[in-house]
Amino acid sequence: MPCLTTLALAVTLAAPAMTGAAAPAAAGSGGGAEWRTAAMEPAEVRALLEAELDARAVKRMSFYAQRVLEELAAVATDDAASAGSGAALDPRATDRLREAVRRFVDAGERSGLAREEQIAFLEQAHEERYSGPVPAGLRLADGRLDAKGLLRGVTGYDRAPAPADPLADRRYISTIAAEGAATLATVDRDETAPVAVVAPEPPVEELDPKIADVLARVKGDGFERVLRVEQGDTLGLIARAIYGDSLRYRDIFSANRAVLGDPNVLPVGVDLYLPPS
Amino acid sequence: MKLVLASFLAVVFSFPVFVQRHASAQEVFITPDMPFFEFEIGDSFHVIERDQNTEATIDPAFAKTSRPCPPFCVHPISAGEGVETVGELEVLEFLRDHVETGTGHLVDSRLESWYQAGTIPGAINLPFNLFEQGELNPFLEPILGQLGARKVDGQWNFDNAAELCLFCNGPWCDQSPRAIRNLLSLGYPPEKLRYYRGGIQVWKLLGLTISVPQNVGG
Repeated sequence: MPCLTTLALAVTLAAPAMTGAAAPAAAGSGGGAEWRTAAMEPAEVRALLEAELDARAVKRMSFYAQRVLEELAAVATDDAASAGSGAALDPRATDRLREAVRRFVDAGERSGLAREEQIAFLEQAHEERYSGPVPAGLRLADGRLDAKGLLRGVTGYDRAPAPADPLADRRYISTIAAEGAATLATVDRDETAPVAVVAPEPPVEELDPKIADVLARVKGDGFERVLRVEQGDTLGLIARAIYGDSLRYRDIFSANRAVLGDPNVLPVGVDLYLPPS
Repeated sequence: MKLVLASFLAVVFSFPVFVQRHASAQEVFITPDMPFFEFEIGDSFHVIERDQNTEATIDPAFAKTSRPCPPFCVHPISAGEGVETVGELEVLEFLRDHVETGTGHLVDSRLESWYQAGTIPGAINLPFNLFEQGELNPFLEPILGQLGARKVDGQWNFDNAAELCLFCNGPWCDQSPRAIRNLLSLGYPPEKLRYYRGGIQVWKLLGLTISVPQNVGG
């Protein structure tokens, strides 16, 4: 059954790739990875990818892109649920998306893709496969996914294992105890909340004017940083300015849950507390 | 070539992500550091992961506890002296170290009908009876040749023979132990053999990916 579907799609999707192949592919082979991604049509991106990647690499990258999109969907769902119910954001969803992006970047490096190409691939996959809301914090001004910002967030990401969790043993015991509840007479449940692991602050590579503007408006320092929201601010932009990682819009939202109702809506005039890096 | 690549792209891009369906993200990992395992053989890309449905139970075909013994008897941990017995993670390691690099084969030792019903991704099917010695098996020499063994002056030389990791249906199945016994009696070096005793039963019990051979190499 699925074979028929993919075959039909293969035919329809193959056509634009063939027509757009000649010119951009030639440019790509001559000038390396000079090309920009923002203005490119999907067919152009596809043509470039075809020219530069072998079939295995395309499959591998698609697999990892799919994982990123699935975790992105989970984050968007979590955002919406939080706005609707007033519940806290789930930090595990953030970690999982970050981990999926990190794996995507690793796979890109193994396949010999430059960072710009990785971004293009993720944008392409998002454009073609993703149907659903994109968290406002991860959206560009034109509404598309900020793939560059997502990848930037993991550039300085510490891949060392998480620090030893003093509660891990207790949690393990409570988990297996709960699993055995059906057969055990008494179960000692321990609802310890998971400990969020905060990645170190990656360096900000370039200072675009909007970011410089946000940074200039921050009051206080260290544990006492506050920013008053102005027209045009988004949580993603602020997160990128402060932490170099747009995905940390979720941390800012969580720290300001009392004054923010929806991760996708940022009211002008609100004073945001900026959690320490 | 372009057309082939285009259809690869089309295949991999043709599964849209819908927010509703993926409301719960991956939570069943293989190990804490390994949410999934991926590898390549030739032009094909494979992924092994666990069933993400936390309510899933084992395929009923592998739920039977009491097939008559003999022949379906409990096997010792070892399939032969010097042959390492391995678990699932070592099978993945074998795929990475030997199958991906072309120095070995993951061998499904079961008869073809079993193999066709589903196997470990990346496995080839060499039914145990291909390694029987005697007039009734004309395939022995060509198969050993394919595995890199050479016959010199009537003697098999296994210096360049492939690393093999063999499995069958599980701890109650004699198909891969038989293959290993036959290989050892032919002189195949035991250090080039591994026995995955858990086999398909334990593989399925853990919800690990099963591939149906028509799709292998896909």
